[in-house]
Amino acid sequence: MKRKPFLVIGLAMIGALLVLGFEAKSALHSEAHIPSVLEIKVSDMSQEERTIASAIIEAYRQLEYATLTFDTSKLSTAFVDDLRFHLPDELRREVEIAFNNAPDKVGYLTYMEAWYNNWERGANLLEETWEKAQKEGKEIGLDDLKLLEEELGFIPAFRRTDPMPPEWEDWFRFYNIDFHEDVAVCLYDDGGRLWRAFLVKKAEGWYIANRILLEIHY
Amino acid sequence: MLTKPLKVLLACVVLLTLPVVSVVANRGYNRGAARNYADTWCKGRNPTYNCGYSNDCQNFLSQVLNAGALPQLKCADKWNNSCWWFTSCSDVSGSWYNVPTFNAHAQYWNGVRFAMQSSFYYLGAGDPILSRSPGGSWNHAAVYMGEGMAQEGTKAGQYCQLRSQHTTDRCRVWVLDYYPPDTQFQLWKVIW
Repeated sequence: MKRKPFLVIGLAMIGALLVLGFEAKSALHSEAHIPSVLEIKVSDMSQEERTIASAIIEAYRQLEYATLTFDTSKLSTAFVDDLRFHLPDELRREVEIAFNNAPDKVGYLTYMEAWYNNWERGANLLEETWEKAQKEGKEIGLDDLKLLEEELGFIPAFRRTDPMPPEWEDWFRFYNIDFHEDVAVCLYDDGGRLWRAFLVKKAEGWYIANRILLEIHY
Repeated sequence: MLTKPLKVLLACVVLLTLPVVSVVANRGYNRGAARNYADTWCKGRNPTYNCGYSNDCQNFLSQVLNAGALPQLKCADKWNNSCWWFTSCSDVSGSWYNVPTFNAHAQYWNGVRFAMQSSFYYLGAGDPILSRSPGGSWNHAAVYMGEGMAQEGTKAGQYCQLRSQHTTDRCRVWVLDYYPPDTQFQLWKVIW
C-alpha cells in the first residue's frame, strides 16, 4: 500500500529525466541539425521576410563576383559597416592585415573587403611562387610557404576559377527571420554552412551588417 | 668459390641495402586502395577509428590516406606538425583528426609527401581537399575521388569530378557541391 506513492514518484522522476535529458541534448544540437520541416518556404513568407531572403541571395551573387574577379567594389550593395555590430578580434585581425589598421568604425563590409583583399594578395604571391617552382621542375617547398606566410600573415589560398553551378540558389534554406525595428535577424543555410545574419534597413533596402558562422556541413 | 671475407662482405651489403630497397619498393601511393576505402566507409564508421570526434572529416581523410599506404610518421609530441599517425584512439597525432594541424603537416612535407596544387584538375583519387570560410580557420577536409558518376548531390547521375567526406557524410558528390562562393581551398596532391 505504502509502495504505490513511491512508485508513482519514481516513474514521474524517470519520465522527467528522460524528457529533460532529451531536451538538454537537443538544445545543444538544435542549431546544428535543423529539421527540414522548420524551413520557411518562400511561398509561406511575408513580403518583408521575402525581402530579407532576396537580400541575402543577392549578397551571395556579389560574393561570387568578388570570388571570380577579386573586385570588391560591389560588396557595398549588399553588406554594410554598422557600429552596433562589433567585429570579433579574429575578424578584426584580417582587416588589420589587409589595410594595416582596423579603426573602431570597421564592420562586416570592411571585413569582407579585407577577406578578398587578402585572398587576392595571397593568391598572386602563391601563383608567382608556384610558377617559379614549376619552371625549375619542382614543387613549392616548405621554406617557400614559410616565407609567404611570414610576408602575408596568413596561409594563402589559390584563386577560384569555377563559377557557381546554376542551381546554387536552390541550396538556400531559411529557418527563422525576426524583426527588431530596423534590424532583421535571419537563421539560414547556404547549402554548406548555417549562419545567423543580422541585416539593417537603409533607405535603399536591407544590408548584411554581420554574420555568425554556426555550423559547417559542405 | 667465394672466400669467407667476401661472403661476409656480401652478406653485409645485402643486409644494409635491404631496408633501402624495402622503403623504395613501398613507395607509391595506392590511389585505388584509397578510393576503395573511401567508397566503403563514406557513409559509415570503421570501428577501429571511431573515436567519437564531433567532426569526423579529417579522421576520415587520414584513414583514406592510410589505406593508400601513405606511411605514418610517429613521434613523441602528438602536435608536432611533422608527424601523422594512428595507433589507437588514445595514441594518435593531432594531424590525424584536426584539419589545421593536418594542413600544417602537409605544408611541412610539401614537395616530399604532398604537393600544393592550384586546381582540382591536378588532383588524383585519394588526394586531400581542405577548405575555409570567412570567420573560420581551415576547418573542413574531404577526399578527391577523381572523375566519375555522381551518386548524390546536385549532379547525381552526371559524369563529373567527385569528392567524398565525413561530418556531413557524402559519397561521390560533385567536387564543388555545397561549397558557397566565398570558400577557399587548399588542394594537396599526394606525391609519395
